[in-house]
Amino acid sequence: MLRYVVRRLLLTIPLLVGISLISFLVIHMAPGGPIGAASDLNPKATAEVRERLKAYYGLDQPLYLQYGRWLGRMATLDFGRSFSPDGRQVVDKIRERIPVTLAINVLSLGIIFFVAIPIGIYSAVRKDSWFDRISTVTVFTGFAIPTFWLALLLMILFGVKLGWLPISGLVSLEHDSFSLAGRAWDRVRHLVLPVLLAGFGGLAGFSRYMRSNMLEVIRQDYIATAKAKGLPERLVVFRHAVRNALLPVITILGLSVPDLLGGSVIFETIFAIPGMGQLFYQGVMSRDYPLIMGILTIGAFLTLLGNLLADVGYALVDPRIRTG
Amino acid sequence: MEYEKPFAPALASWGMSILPKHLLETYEDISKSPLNKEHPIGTGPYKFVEWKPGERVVFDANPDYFEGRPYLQRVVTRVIPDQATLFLELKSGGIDSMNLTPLQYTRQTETDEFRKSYNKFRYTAFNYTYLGFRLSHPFFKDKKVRQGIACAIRKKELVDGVLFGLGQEAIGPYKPGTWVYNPDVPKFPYDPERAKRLLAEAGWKPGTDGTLEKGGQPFRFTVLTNAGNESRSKTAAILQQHLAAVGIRMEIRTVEWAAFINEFIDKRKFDAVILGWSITPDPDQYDIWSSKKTGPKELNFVGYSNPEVDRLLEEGRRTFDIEKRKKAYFRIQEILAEEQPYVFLYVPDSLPAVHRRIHGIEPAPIGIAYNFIRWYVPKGQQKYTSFQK
Repeated sequence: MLRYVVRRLLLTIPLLVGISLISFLVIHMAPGGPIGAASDLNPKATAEVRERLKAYYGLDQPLYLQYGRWLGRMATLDFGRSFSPDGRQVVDKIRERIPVTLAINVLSLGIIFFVAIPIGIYSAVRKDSWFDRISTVTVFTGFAIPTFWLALLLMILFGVKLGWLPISGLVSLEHDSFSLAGRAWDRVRHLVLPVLLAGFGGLAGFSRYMRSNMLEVIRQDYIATAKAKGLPERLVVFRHAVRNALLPVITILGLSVPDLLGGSVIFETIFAIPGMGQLFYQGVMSRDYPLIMGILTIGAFLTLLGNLLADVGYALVDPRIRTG
Repeated sequence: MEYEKPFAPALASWGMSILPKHLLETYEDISKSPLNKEHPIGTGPYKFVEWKPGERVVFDANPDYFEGRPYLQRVVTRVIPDQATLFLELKSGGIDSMNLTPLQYTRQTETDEFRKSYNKFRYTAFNYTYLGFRLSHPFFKDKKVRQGIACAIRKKELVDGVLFGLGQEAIGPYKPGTWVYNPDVPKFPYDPERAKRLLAEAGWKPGTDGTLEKGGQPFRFTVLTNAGNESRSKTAAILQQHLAAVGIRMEIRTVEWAAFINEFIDKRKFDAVILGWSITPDPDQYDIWSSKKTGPKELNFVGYSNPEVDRLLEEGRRTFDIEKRKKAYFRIQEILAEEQPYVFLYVPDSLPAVHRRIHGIEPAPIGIAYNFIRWYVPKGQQKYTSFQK
């Protein structure tokens, strides 16, 4: 097992290099460049200014050299400085965005689990019942409704009409003057709408997944056996069926690892949340190469790591895979 | 600074604040100083307190400001990317001021409830939108074609449709009402018959399906504009209708900004564009109209060239005599209006809304922000009291 894990980890290195090379080429193929934002259609940006800016960012060198330098820095985990006017360290820019993105994603993933799993189980056990139908319609509504539209409606209701919740942002203007408890409460109030909305949108996929897993398991012979033994239904469902139906969830969890740090642009834009999604979007729009590369590399690493974790986790809980 | 020849826009072109020498001289390369990026220090009415990227910037009043301490103790600028969210924040009282869109100004704020809490202002903005032609294009080389297109466009409909009436028709590249603006230039008002006549004089005659043709070639072209600018894409859609009425088929293409500049403007791969310029306080527009500014990455990308305009542009920037400058720029406007290298479309209005708590605002032609340091909130109406010292 250990050898397997080590081998997989070593394999991620060439994979990461390959992914980063492709990313690097693709973003450099996009028209325009980092100095465009400051110099395009700007009468003061003469050809000389442009050349100096290019030299300042090292953009005057051949592409393979630029990539080589980037790779060399990455080997020491140095993400470099952003090309945006603030010129800050890419690591700092990413680090300050992670907490809020992570918090929203973990909380909404939690909601999805705690709501979707019971819905899935119950819908499967009582297939075609009223509950099954209503919950199906509800979760699909959540899936189908455009997030930004629902978000606006909820903002109007809770923010403007009722005045219960703040509309956007992370904290109130006077946040710093609040007591410790007041500050915590302030943050919670700002997170309610984004987290609920993110959760609502994700219910459908997960609950349907759980339901079909469950239906699959219920048809198995060992469930029939358990029922035939005269076990109460509750025991059959929870001890025998659910445990097996939950297995594929590990895969989903593994695949969710990179999503934890990836924010949605639409979502963050509508709630004015400075998260990873906006950071990446702005990076792409301003062709901030070091920032884009930094985020892509982290994303690629987390994806590979998530896959590995899922495989290992699977092997741990399912003896059939371990021995096979 | 010393110039070889007089250069009128010089003072305005420096546009740089006073820098703190004692904090910069320790750095060999001042671009490495944290002052630029992390904690700017200047001599303005407000002092930098805090910047949370993507979230907010906070400023406190500078008690030593040379015109006196501003009345508002703290100013917070919030970053809210979405227009709809921004508007809801305003309505819920989360923010005190924002710039409204024409739609919000005319349709969503005409309620007693809104008026009870907010003052709305309206003044001419410092920018204009135009339809620019690549003048080396075989269709648009001919002045008559450009004049014909100008006559086919009903600018009033653009102002009504795109700006909900909150703006005015443009006839030149300056802000209406300013000293340099010349209202008496040759005009090509909406007149489809005249448009057809002008186009016919240029050799464009209706073909079997009504589309204009010349030498068997139909009058079809593509107008480009940048993606994400709603008023420009609306403008394009309305222009498409106007031009179709005189037999010109115009396709619309919107392109992401960087690609728009690098792939189309820089490479001169466009027929026509819908874009805008901001109008600077100094009237020098050498960079936009001079035939010496048609090179790569330069601003005269339509390729406009007129010896008289070149001479007048030089004249205008080489004298500080406002009357002489005015004469030069008036004449430039006449020539531009006659030659129509751009069809100047409209000048929008700025539409700020500010909470009624805030007093001392005195609207002027330049807008409302000029006396910001004298804005205040009377005792009793003050909302954020924790900042006060």
